[in-house]
Amino acid sequence: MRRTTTIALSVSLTLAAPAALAAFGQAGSQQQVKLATGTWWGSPGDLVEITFKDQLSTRTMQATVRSIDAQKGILTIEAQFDGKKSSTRPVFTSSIVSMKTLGAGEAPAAPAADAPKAPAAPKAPAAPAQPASKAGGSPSPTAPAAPAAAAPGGTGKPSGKTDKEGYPLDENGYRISPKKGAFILPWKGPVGQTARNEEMEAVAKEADKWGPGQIIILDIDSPGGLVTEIFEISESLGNIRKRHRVVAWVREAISAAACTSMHCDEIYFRTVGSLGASTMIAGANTVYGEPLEAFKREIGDVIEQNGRPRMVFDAMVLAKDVLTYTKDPVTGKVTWHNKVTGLPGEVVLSNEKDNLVFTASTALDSGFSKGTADTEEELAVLLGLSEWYEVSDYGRKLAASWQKLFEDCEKDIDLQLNLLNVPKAGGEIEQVNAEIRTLERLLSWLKRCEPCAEGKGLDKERLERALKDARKRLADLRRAQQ
Amino acid sequence: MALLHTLVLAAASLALVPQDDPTTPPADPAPADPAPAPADPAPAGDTPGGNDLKSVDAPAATPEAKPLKPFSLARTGGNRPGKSPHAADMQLSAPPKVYIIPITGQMGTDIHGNIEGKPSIYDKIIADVRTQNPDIIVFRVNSGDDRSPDKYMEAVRAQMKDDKIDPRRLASGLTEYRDLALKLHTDLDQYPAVVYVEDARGVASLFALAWSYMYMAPDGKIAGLDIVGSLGGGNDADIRAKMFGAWTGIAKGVLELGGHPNQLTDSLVRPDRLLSCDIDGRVTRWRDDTNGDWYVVDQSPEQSARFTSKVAEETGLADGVAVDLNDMMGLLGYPEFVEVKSGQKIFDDYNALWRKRYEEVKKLIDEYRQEMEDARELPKRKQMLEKIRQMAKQYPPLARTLEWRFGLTDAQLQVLIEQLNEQIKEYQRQKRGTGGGSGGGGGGGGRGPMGPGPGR
Repeated sequence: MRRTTTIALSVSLTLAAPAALAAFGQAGSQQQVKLATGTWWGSPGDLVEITFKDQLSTRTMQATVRSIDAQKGILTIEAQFDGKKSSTRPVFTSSIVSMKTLGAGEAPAAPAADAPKAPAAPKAPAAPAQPASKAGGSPSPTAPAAPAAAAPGGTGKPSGKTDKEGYPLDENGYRISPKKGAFILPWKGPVGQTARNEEMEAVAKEADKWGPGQIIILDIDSPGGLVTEIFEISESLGNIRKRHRVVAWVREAISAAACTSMHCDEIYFRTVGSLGASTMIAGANTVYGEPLEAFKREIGDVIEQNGRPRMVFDAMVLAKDVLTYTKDPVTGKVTWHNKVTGLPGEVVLSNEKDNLVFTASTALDSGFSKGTADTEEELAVLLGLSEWYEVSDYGRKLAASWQKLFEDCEKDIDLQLNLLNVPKAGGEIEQVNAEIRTLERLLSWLKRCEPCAEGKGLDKERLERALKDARKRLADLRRAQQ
Repeated sequence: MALLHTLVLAAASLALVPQDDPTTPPADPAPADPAPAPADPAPAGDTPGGNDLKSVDAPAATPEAKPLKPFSLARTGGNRPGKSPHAADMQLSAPPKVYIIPITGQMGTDIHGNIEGKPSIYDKIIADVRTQNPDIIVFRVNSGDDRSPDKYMEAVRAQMKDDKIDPRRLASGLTEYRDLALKLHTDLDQYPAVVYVEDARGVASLFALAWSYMYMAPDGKIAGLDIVGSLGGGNDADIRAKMFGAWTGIAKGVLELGGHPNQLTDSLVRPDRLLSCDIDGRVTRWRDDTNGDWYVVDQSPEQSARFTSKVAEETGLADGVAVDLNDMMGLLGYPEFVEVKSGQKIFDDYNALWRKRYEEVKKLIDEYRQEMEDARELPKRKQMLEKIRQMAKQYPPLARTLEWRFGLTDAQLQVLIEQLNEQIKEYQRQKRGTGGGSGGGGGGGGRGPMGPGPGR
């Protein structure tokens, strides 16, 4: 029976094959794309008028074809979606109703359909016409659009020159990347300690060498941290986003890390991702009153400017703030509510006792995230890249180096503080000597890894005073011995 | 079980129906679209119901060609995440190679992820899986925290008084377990996987539900994820809500790996949520109230949802109840299979080894705690501590057990060793007659979690 079944299934696949394969026939530089009805011939860079099914609605818009993925049956187009800034998104050829070339556009930034190695698409199936797959968030009007990554630097004509590090430069003096890719910064641990804005700025500066329009991915895995840091992060990301497309890829983004994610152009989740719980805490208590209002106002303003509703942020800050959403059954458009409305199909994300935390599925369904990806290859598809390619590993090295320094510092300070209490053989002089060595070491940690040392309660002035005092005691002891 | 057998048979016969017959009723409410165009954005090769263009490219007539990925109209294929392990979907021509990955023992020690960046035993197992290249992976889950599912949190408090490991400690590695579950998913994504739950109580329940295909032993239970919510705390309602939201959000993330809906994950980790379900055809529709007309799983606002194997099977949470691995493989449609035991061996060997070392460490600690008769024993005691430290470094689960059982960390061991160093120096000075300092003099050692120590 099994054998018969196999044959029956094979037949059905074989029957299906010609039509599917015909969709991607090629002729010269142009490619044939089989649409839901009819065929379109063209190539990446073409300006087109495209009509495609998106959820239950049909959209018509002008767009530029950025890439054609022959293996997956995906066109990546760049256009203005929902009146937002121009962004790229994949569209399945099977959902395209019609497509008309309006003119040949600029050369595509990304490799086209015949790229040697196609990326693995995100795994889980999504509903038809939800192109971002495991991904494929609903077209939420509140979801922020990515800034144009369409005209990245480093794509000018080669100048024939190289920089000091041997990178070929284009006519504008930017480094030329062999492929369209991304910069990734692992942003792990407590905010303000191992996850900081300094590394964000450093990676952006590195990305500047390849010109504007680079993709910077913050790979976020943080339980949150210092509120003060979020204001610096807000400013840094505001500046970086003027030049580059900044993407949050969330494993864990709690508290200040949630605020950080909402400062990015786009948010993607891992399947296990969680984001939210941004209650402002001082010591062991929630902050209320003017400091809280200032925090909500200032950070909420930025989040709102980024195209995300303020009420989403509010529901993460205080339990009393409610968040629900409903989706238009026809268009899939999401409407957020700050109270339980009782409307049909309403999803309550956070009631009056809860603090809002998104999971991958709630974020995707509500359009808060643009997709879900567990691997870099899956993320590449969602970002509109033809494959995962890291332009530079600078961010990874930077993060690893800072993380290591921080961990070493943390362990050593704990140890040194404990060793201070160990009675030394050799009497008081040796004891004071050991104390001096420890104090010097702690001061050196303050210089090398200030956030960690300060987090451990070390204070430069107090340490210096203690060191001065210890040295004086040592001198007194030596004098007394003589 | 009988029902399951019937379903598997039904699945096989449904697959025989010509796929291009538009009148064929779908067995699953969300069947694969038989139309040739790839309407689904997921990579076809990863979903049993997808249109696998790569497979179409393969020369089907060649005997050596890889078997085509079949469409499935069976309940088994469905639209669940991950590859289906069911025979009806896999269409193997020989008995499958089945690799067992144990998730058994104590959470945080036997079952652990990367501790302080060190590779875990599962890294070794993943590498072995790739070498063995099985057809199916079975995750065998058997882990509890000694609590019965009834009066759960009361049991936690009782245990704390009883000098046992606080179950919240076992749960506190939640992000480590999350990362381990994700790693097992992403690194072994190409293999169809199924979970066999012998028992999953406490935070181990996360692993029971982290894959979408799951069978349970007759006396198996999935219960006690409310421990996750108790990890929070805080001085006021907003902090409590924040901590509760953060921890439960992380736990729900792991359950999303299994493709479970929000109503179910919420009720599993949150005591205040209710759970019932309707059955729509073969699909379970979970509800966050008690109005489900098929089953009311949890009607208490004080404890999280719990599943016996019976309830899990009847609500469709589990694919079936199997008395053992053979039975489960039978239910999956494999009368024969080849069990690959190397993963189990790697796991057992490692855990037996670190536990053996732990017994040695306990003896050393007992010995260390004996009163010292002579300062000449100081170097020997130092050696004991150095040996303990070395073993703890070598076996992260041992280090964790020392911390949980004795409150003994690496930093504390270093301090104790340093104390002994100074005492040894002082003793030598006194022996040489050059003493005169006011140091510890061999009398003050052994402070901290190690108890009396030398010089007493």
